Amino acid sequence: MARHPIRTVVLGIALLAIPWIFPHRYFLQVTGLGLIYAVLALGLQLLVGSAGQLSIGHAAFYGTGAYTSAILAMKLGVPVEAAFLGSGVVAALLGLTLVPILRLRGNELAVATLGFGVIVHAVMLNEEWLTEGPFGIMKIPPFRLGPLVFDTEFRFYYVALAVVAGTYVAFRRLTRSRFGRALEAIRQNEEAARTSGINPLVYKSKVFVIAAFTAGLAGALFAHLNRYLNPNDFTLAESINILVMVVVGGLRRLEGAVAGALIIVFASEYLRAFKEYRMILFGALVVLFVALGAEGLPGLPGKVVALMRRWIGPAARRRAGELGDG
Amino acid sequence: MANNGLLIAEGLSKRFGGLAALEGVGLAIAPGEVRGLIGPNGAGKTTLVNILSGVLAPTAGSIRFAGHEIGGAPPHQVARRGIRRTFQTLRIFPEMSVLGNVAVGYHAHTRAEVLDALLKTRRLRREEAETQAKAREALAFAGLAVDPEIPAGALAYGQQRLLEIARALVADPKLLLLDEPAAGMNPAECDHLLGLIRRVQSRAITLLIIEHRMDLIMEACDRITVLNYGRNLAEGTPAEIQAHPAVIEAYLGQQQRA
Repeated sequence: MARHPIRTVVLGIALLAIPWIFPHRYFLQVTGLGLIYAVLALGLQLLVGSAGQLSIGHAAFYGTGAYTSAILAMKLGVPVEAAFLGSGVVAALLGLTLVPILRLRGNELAVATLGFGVIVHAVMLNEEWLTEGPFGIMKIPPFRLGPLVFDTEFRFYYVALAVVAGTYVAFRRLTRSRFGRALEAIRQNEEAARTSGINPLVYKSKVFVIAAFTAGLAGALFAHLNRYLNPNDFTLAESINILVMVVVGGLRRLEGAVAGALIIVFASEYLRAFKEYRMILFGALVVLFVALGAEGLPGLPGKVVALMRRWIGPAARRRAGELGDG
Repeated sequence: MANNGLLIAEGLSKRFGGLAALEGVGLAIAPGEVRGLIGPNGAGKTTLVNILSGVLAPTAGSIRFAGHEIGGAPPHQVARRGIRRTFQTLRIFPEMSVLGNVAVGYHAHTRAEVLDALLKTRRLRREEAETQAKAREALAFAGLAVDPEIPAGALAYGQQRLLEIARALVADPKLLLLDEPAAGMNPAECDHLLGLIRRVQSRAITLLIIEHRMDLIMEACDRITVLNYGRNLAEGTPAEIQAHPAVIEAYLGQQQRA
């Protein structure tokens, strides 16, 4: 995007103008949620799309961040700004404890991260002294930055947008550096990466910690947007939901993760109008996107053109043949 | 020679369960030498290269390389000591650009990490420029004249073999292990490979080459080691090996069975 400064400026102005053009509370609430999921999906994109490490436990870091920020701010009286950063740090430390299982590959790693997610959820549910258990934590203060209090959906939008933009720029720099090249090498051929002098365990550990850190920040955003936390916000289904966003947006490209998050959040919210058919439509939508393969949404135009060629091509020839017969 | 060898492996054994792939194999390679490693199928050639490059840990035995014991060390450490390799079954990074593939080979020569990338430090920019320059140089040296920005998966088979060699050479290794570099190459590509091996040798890089094409081995190598059933069978100059009764028997015996 640095090569297209005009496009970047136009996109930036458009993003900043959205709450002024569409000032509806419900829309902004959904958009804020979509931006939180964009941060989560970006982290998982780095993990799955770049490094090829399949994790089905991302909600564990998300939830850890959310609870950390709420507990720090409410029980320990830490300023919200510091609690926000603290949530990333605590989630990253939790990610560090996963280093021993990073020797596992593919499906084994996926199952291990799944188990990890279940454990963290169980802690949220049962350690009532810390998390209030199934009742959840209520009356969480809004996000603030010095004298600025982001207590409306309108204001919160800008906080979430800043975190998404920061995460996106940081990850873009990472993926385009020596670090990103090492992740790509590990995903595409781990043995060739190792014999080229790369220690995969070091890079897998770093990428897990980075993904956990950003998921922790997303959790803190959620805590201060929703103002109420409950363990059921951070279940296995949530981890899978984030993974679906990454797949829908297309593995590989960071933009895809942001698009996937917004599509899934908006689809599941606005499909509510279809009541009990909602999940059927949602499922069909996901199947459609997954059928697009690793390219995800960005691959759609190419696939449509290829399909049209296949269907229209022979039909046109048949018509030409009929004309010839006539 | 045992003391001034670049690589001295002694008593290397490798068992996979009850199967002994290697049994007390010894190998001493002098600096600057081009050594051939031949033997009938299943003789343990690739197992030996896997052990020398750290991909497999030996069940027993020692490997001294440039004065350091490297037996059982992980592959990334062995690579950093200056042993690089190619693979019999190609292991490129297909979705990465040709240049990116070679740049991975230069990883151990650079240090920029997460913070450098986030802050776009001077070190990151300097190292990245250096990496790109070295990678282009290695591609030119290997004689791979293709657009360096296309994905490596789009290259022809013989070109992918050269790409693996370029990825190994960019690190300026002390020892280069080539596991069947000519497999799948046409005669013209084989000639190119032979020229490349000569140019690598002239850079004072020691080579160990596994190859089934005897014409290439006899032409390229200073000395040849023959393995059979996981043991040393013979060692000598190409002329000595061609006249060696045990070698002839091992190969003819295999042909009769086939």
